[in-house]
Amino acid sequence: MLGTGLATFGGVGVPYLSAKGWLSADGAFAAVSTAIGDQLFTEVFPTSPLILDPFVDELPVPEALRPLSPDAVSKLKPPPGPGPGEQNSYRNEQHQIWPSTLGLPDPIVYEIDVLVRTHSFTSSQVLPIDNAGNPTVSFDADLNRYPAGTKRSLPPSTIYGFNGTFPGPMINAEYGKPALVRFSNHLDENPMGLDRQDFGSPVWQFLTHLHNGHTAPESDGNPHYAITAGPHAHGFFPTDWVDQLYLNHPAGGDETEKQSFFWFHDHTMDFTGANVYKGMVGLYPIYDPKDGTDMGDERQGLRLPGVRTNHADGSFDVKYDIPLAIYDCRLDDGVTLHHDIHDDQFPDAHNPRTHPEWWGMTFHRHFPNHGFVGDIFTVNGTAYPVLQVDRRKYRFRFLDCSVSRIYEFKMMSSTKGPKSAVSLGYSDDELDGQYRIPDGQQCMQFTEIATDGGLLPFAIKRDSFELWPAKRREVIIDFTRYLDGHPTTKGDVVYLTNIMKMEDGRMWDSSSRFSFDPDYMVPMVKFVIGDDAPDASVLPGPNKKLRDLPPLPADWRTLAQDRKIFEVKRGSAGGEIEWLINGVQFDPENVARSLKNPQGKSPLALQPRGSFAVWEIRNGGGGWVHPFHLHMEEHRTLTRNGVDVTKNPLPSHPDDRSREDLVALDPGESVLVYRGFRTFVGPYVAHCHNLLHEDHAMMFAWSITPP
Amino acid sequence: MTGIRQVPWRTALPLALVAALGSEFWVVAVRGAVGATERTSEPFAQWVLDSAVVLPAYLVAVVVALSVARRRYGPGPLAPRQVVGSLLMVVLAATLVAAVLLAVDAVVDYRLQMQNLGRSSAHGSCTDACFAQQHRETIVLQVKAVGLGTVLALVSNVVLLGVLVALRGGRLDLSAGRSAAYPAHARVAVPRHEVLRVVPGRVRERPHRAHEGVPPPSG
Repeated sequence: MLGTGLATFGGVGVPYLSAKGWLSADGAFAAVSTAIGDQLFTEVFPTSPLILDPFVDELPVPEALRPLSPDAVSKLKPPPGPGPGEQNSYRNEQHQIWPSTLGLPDPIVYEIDVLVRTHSFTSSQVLPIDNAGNPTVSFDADLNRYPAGTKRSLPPSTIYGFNGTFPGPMINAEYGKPALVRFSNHLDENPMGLDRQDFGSPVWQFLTHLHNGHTAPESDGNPHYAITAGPHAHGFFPTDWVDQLYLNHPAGGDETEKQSFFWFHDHTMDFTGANVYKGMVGLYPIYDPKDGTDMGDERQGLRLPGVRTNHADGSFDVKYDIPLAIYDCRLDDGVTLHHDIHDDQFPDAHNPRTHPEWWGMTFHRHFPNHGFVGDIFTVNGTAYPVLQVDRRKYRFRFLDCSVSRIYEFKMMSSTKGPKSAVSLGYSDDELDGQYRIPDGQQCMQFTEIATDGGLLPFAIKRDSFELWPAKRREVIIDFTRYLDGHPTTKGDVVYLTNIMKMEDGRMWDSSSRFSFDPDYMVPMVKFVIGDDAPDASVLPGPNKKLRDLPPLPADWRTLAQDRKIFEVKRGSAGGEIEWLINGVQFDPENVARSLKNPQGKSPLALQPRGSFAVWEIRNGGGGWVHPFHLHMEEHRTLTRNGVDVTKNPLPSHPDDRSREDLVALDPGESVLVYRGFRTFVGPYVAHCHNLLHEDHAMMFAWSITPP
Repeated sequence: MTGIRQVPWRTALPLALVAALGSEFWVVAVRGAVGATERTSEPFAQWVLDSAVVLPAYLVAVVVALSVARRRYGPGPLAPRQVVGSLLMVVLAATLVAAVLLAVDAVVDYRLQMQNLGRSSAHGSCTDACFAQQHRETIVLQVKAVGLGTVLALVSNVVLLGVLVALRGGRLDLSAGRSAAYPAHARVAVPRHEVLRVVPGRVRERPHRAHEGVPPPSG
């Protein structure tokens, strides 16, 4: 009996505790403290109404933003320029490096206004349900009450959007062709008279970060910069403008540092999560025209899927190369209490109280103890879209722009098709995602070609892959044949499916590598296979070199002895300051100090320009995972929990052998990374990209000093 | 009040030790949930240290509770209901100590957290009203934490001290020194093999049977 019990514990309990980081004396306390915290921070979230007709709305495929004509650029007030005071509306900054300094042409100029507008996640009717899945009452903006069982159309949600859309515009960039974007804040204007609700920056600030462009601090959009220079505030205020210059030049001019997919998002101090959730997301694929390597033309270079159309204004679109911005949201049910530590900053909302007038609009909470996850999954701003695909290969650029949710994607087929989770008898958190394919079977593989840092050295065949907040993964999907080699036929249906269950923002509850739940298969995009189409692209084989990794120094282990160490951990420093690094909250004015390293030193987070260093990022435990983001340059992962992964990554993180700008930290993990600090000097930050952690102090300031 | 020579140390010490370890577990765990960050590292070591430091407080509480029980029920042997009553007094006394320590912890944490909030105000968009709300939220959280911690300490004291008494044969010896309730001659008279065979339900019969065949003690 005892033996059986111990065997069961060893087989189930030990891996569970280990995965949570609780398999130690301190871990046991962390587990109990977490459980106590759960009781003290009682949080109730609404259940979104059930979308009745999923997979009817077309997947929006973004088109490239067109640049300003030279004439329009000259009419900007004032026009952009390299001189002192020409970088922002405060007239107190200058671009650190103008493109000509590096022998690059003058930048292509774009204009993006930050606007208050509306967005609809679906055109489908919805059925209001409660957390048990039962039909429930609903409301409208005039406070009319509709009885349970009444089908409704959703009101549009108020967004703060780049050019007023969600997701915002897509800039197709190219190495060697700098781009300058003039961001202007118009959040004080509300021409449609929209209810701004109770989230987003309360003083309508914005601060745009090109994640993870190799940019100067004044164009990086980070709070350490914003507080100490430029606006000297959390972000730029209404009527402000700022020119952000993206040189589209790899770090150090090094070809191996070229990347392939950025995105830009708000980074206002303390309100990044709320502003991103409110819509401030844009896309920035970057192509490499050198030798046609990866220029969006499948007839050249690596022959990755893409058919390029050049426009007269210098911009271009690439067919069969589609970004997928993944985002989860939760819609107000009108009966859930709005109460938050920021209530006083939204006096018009008169919280704490319920808001039936906001029924069906996006619901947010700035400071939830468990993180924030939505129960409706959207792609490119649309819930459960359908994409008619040609029968050929496609390149998809995945981006997780969710606040906290992590996904694991798999390509699946289903004979019976999607069923609502409600109809299958699920309730509460099991309703997340709204739909399931109970008979789902994997039917295709992904060929992963790129991560956050650009092209991999070699493509990797993946049955599934995880996508953490802010991470990018690029894959090729071949819609001509199934996993077993059988050809597809016109009319076949394949689903992009999320198989990671995540009931709160802490970490997954089930995934392929942890307590897999075979019943959790949530279809997110329906692909309908159409006619054959010409396809000159080539699926890269396992030995086809895509892009070399930047070399590691032979003595990196010696360098690691003098590493800088940063431990991310949940703590409580009072009020809303809950997420800390090295035991302290984010100080935007001063660079952080490392924990004591093996040489007994605790250096400040300062790096001379042109230097390289080893940094260690540790997860301090508590059963949370952290996607930890380092601004400005990509890193290579050296070790994970002490295991050298430079040649053979661990099965849990197969693409550790790449360049990344986010360290995916499982509970209790410690990761050593190697990276450079080149080209620019000045203030930058590093932070957890679970945006609620970032907004509640899990960020540190660091700086590049003159050599 | 009982003089120090009348304290049933052999009963009080184990009870106080178990109560200190059990209650401090919750104090440290609650601190990990809502305490000031600078006080939440290495919780296991902190638990061991804290338990040792506060052991005298628990010992005083347990001695006082046992003294009250002794006044009420006499030195023993105690009937089962009296054992339960005495045990409850000990549990309540130990939990009271835990509550006080939780409250002290909360005050220390609150002061540290307010210092942190003050430091963060230099850059925040948080206005005076916003900070006032954060102060209120912090107080409410600490008060709730003290309440929850006290309940958890109460439950763990009931369980742990109950198990301890059960392991001691369901007896609670309130007498000072070695054996006012269970005289030395009684213990001597019990053959060792018989003691080993005794099951808890029969424990109270042994002194009586042993006493019949043994002369009274001389001193």
